[in-house]
Amino acid sequence: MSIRQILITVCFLIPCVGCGTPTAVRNLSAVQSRTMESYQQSLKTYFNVVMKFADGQVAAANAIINSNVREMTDLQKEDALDNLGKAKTPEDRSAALNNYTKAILQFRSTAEGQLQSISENVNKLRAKQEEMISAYGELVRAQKALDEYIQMKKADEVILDDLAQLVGINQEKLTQSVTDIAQISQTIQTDIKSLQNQK
Amino acid sequence: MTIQELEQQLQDTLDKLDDAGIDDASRRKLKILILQLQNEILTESFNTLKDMDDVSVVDTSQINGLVAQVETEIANEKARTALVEKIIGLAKTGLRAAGVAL
Repeated sequence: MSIRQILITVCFLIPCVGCGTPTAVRNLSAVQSRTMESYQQSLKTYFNVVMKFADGQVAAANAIINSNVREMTDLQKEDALDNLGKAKTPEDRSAALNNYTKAILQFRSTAEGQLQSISENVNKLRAKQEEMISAYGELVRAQKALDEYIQMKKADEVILDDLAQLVGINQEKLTQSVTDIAQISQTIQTDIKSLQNQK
Repeated sequence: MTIQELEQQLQDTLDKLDDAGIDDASRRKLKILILQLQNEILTESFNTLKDMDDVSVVDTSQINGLVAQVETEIANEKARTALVEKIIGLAKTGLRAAGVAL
């Protein structure tokens, strides 16, 4: 047996032990990786838009609440002035002023609580979105690591490439041939089992 | 009756008082009540976001460690490939030196 014949035999044997990653797998992995990265960007853009909308809603709500508080304060002031006008004793005047102060403080305190509640709720939305983006980032990172492994040339492929080069065989065709042989072998085995069962 | 319907009824009552030219303490109290209710409705509209606490995000805690393992495997495979390339190179040189035509 010549060295060339030995090399050809080895070329056919090696893929049986450690076949190179099929092109379809490499292609799917690469496309999946790119798609996930692209989707990650879409998610970030989407969440940014949602947050801008939410921030706008918060700004509008804050403006309305503050405006309402100002109007309530003015109404309370009118009420206080009325009461002061009607007051007959210093005690009455003092009570009117106390009521006014108490009411104003109550309006402000309630409004502060409301603004705080709105801000906390929107922050929950922001935090959850960041959590989701971060989790998806982890998935993208994992896919990229897997893709890097899938795309890389493995040691057995290097051997196969070199041997195939020596005998002038295209490695992809060789891998395909081995796949075809494996499929034919599988079909034969199935047929044999089927025949045995018929007996 | 919803809160919005209640607010509307209060507003209608206020409008009637305005139309009747009534501007006394009761009217002012009613107006303040409407404004307070508006603020409460606004605040309440953001409360649906509290449900965010129930939204669970996929657990990726295992991924970090596993990615690190894959990265180690990638480094190992690169080293293995480099070694194989070196051995093949040496083998080729040896074969050529032995007079084998490659």
